[in-house]
Amino acid sequence: MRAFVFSIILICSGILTSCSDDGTAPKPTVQVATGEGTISEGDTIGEGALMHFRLVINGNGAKITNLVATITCDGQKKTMMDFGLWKDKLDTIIGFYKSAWKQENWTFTVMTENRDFASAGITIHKGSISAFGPIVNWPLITLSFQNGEGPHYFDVETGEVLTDTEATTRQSDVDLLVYFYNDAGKPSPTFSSPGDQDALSHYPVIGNWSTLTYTKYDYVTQTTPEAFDEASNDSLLIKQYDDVWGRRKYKYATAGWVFPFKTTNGKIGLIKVLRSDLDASGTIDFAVKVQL
Amino acid sequence: MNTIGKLATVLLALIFCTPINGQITGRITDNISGEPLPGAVVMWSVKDGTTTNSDGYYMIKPATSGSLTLTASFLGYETASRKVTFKQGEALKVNFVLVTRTVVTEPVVITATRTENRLSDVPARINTLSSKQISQIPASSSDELLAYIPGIQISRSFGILSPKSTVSMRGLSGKEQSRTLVLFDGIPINKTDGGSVNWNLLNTDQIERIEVIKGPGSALYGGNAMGGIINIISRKPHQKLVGKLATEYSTFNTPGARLSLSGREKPGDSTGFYWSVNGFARRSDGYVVQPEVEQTRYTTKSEMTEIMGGLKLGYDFNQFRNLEVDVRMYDDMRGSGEKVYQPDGNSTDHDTRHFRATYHDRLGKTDISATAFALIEDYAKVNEYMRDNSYTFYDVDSKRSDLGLLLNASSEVWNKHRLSAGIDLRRGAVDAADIYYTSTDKIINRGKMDFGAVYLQDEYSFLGGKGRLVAGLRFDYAHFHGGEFSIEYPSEINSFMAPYQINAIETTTWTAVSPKLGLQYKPTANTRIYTGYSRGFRPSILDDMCRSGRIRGGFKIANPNLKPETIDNIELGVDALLFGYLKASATSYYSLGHDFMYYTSTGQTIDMGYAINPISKRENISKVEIYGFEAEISTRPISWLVVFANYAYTHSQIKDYEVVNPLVDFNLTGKFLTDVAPNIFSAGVNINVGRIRAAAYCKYTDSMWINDSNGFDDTYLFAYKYPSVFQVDAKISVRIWKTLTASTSVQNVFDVKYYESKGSVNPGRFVTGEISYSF
Repeated sequence: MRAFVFSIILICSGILTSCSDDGTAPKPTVQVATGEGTISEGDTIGEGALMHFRLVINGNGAKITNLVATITCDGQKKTMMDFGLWKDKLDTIIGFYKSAWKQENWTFTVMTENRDFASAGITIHKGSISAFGPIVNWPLITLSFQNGEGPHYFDVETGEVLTDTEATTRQSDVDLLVYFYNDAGKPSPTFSSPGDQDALSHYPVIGNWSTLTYTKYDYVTQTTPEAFDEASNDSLLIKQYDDVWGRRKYKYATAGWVFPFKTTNGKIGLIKVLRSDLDASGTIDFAVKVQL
Repeated sequence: MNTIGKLATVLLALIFCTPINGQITGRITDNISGEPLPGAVVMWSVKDGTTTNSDGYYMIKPATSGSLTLTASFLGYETASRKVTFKQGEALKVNFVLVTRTVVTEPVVITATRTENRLSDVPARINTLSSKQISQIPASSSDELLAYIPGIQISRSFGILSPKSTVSMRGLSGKEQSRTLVLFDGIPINKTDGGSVNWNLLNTDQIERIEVIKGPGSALYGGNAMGGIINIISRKPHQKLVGKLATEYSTFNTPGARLSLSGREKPGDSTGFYWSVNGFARRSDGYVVQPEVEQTRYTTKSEMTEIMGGLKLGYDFNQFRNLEVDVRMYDDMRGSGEKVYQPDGNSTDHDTRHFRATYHDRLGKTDISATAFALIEDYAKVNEYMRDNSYTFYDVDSKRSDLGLLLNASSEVWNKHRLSAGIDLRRGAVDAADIYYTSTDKIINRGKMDFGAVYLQDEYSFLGGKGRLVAGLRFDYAHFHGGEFSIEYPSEINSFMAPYQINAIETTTWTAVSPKLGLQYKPTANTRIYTGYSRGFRPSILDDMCRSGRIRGGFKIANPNLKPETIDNIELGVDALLFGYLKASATSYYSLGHDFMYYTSTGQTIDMGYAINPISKRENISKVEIYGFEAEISTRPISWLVVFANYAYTHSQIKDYEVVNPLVDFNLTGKFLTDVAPNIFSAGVNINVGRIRAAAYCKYTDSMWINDSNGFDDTYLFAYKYPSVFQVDAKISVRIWKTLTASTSVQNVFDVKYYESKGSVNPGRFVTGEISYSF
């Protein structure tokens, strides 16, 4: 009987206790590398200029899963990028526009799958001459929703609207398309990048494309139509677009809404919706201002 | 293994078949099929007896010569006796052919009163499944065994690939397992965290019987017993050594195996050590559950692997005193059909350990029992997806535990009364975190709920046993504490939740009083009528008390002040054995639920970054009216055929829904409960001829509302209701040789496709072939 009770205790304690592995996880490294065409410590940059940072990141055996870029100045902090990924190493150049802040303390923080962190920083000063770039204005574009007969696709750099046939032959030029659906009962004229999954359900032809672009729409930041109309360089565009909120589609795009976007080629722009039908056979009118 | 096993079986048969001087040997078989009857009892005196082995053979050694009366008995058969003259030094062979009882046998049940009673002596609607019935049902998991019980609804959207299943009854939503209490050997296995039950971890081969008690049962069991109670009772070894090894292969390239071994030190004796070991393993390639329009380049099949092992050790000190320990482990991985970078993609993993120790004894006229249990589950859910060229990967890691002590005493007093009293103590806890790897967030929620309860029950027989009264009362006290909701390193996207962090959520307490009263009368031996009143309740799940977070269309905040939902039920039932062979029963019931929990707006809004959404929290704001009718018939017109049919009607409607914020909230008054089928019909036949056992069942489940507002679902299903489903299942088993059986089961014979609330599709026809070896 004693052996019986003892064996029960042994078995139960074995089952109810668990062991943990106390291994030491590798630590990641991140470095802001300098070189031609990239930003170095202490550089002076004009407001609106495009800055390129070269980051060299190593997970040292663990996958790199998160890259965050923040700027701080005079106690204010802004997250410029918060990006998920899954890579062993990364040697990449990323671009941001210089803000109006006099001194920007940039911090690049990486995290691995083990939630180990590493960060590197660099300080940039604002130059006296602003460097905003020119923009191009497409004042009236009309696209048809998925059941309409007109063109559905748009190339923001050339201002061309494209039919199914044209879009199929120029896949890399298609920055956006439009469709209409009811989202839980709410009518939603929708701008989408061809690379978004939902676009495929409205335009099955995309399933045969070999090149898909991924235009991202900032679905949080709102701009007034008046500000859109007044924009004469890319200042407003740069200030409005926040990559943290960039998504592949923009829903509920009815008349009066103005929202920023960024194309796969890195062009930032604004869309102002002028008019929209509320059925899948209808059309939508909009204006676009985009970096030249 | 096969060769050795066969040789061993042949050898055993030879040993038992060949009479040895000084022994009486023989075999006990069924009169129709000629099948051996393992476990049949052979007695040659009041206290001397033995049981047959797996091939139906027995052997006895009477100490003295002379005239003996051998008596052979087996459950479900007429007892047979034979007078023999035995002389020491001579061998004697005495075979018995037992005749099947033509009347429907009546099981003994324990769940409804926590005491042993014949089924017809309990004033409640009870359905049972015996091990023989269980072996004939086409089912791939333990919950599916219940599918043909009247009024039972099972929600298992993806067959064996479903990480969870819900079994509900009596008009309570099929989405909520927490409103139906599930016991395993008397231990509550609904988790305090979310009320759910992991049906996957139960080995169907280990089930001795299942008892289903319809209607509220909180007067004896406390929380979760609103719609009813399901008690799954495992086998207790009675023989020296028995075992079964089954291998199976199913649709979607699904191989599996089950093993059960058990033994007893002194077969046929009420003392001694016994043990059993059981386990199963199964894996499946699965199938693509997403509809075609939802599939992406990351879509994969929802594959599955699972493994389970269990050990039961027990010691019978005498007929009444027993100590038993049961430990079980289960581990699974079930993919949900999307894979980006992680080895198993989006998946769930349950790592579960169950422990139970039970002590029974009799002190004077009082039966006592004490059970300690620990149910521990490490749940992990991997979430990964690629959106907007950015990768998101996070784990939900949740440690859920339920520890308890159940004490019960039962004694016959004042001649015709049996009084039972007990104390239940339990602690449920959750310690969970959403750990992000592609952002810095770590969102933590934890909380504990302590329950203490006392109960008293009286069973009273009167009118010479024709009348029976069962009355009970239970008082439950619950204390919520240790609640926390916090975020470590909130990133930009989750920063909106930061103001709602609470490191010490307020502690709360509540109490519940649950009475019951049942009365029945048997005008004849084969007829009874009963009526009863009972109350049930379910405590709020910990998830609603201590976790804030995103929900569809907004944000919910924790509400530690939630009270339990309650339901009061009256019912009337009648049973009759018609024409001597047709068992019929009918039940009607009326229930009124109070304080049902729904999400409602707090009147505040939250800027979630992408939108300003209402803040919601669970509140006890609704009454629910449920009434229904259940009827069933079953018959065994000839010994090898059983036919059954049953029907259940349910009306479940929300009453007096309290609208907290009319500007935001939808008034649900008058709406019907979701996931409740108003009409369910099922029927089936079991055939047992010679070496062949076959079963064919069908079930019709009516259409059900999809959402609380009974509105049109324009996201996934594009309908107001789930369509009705008619499903046919079948199974056939053939005993190829004494120890070898081959069987095939087909679930959903006509390959009917149906969809769950997010548009994912069921597996369709599911075929399983099995070969089992028993000894």
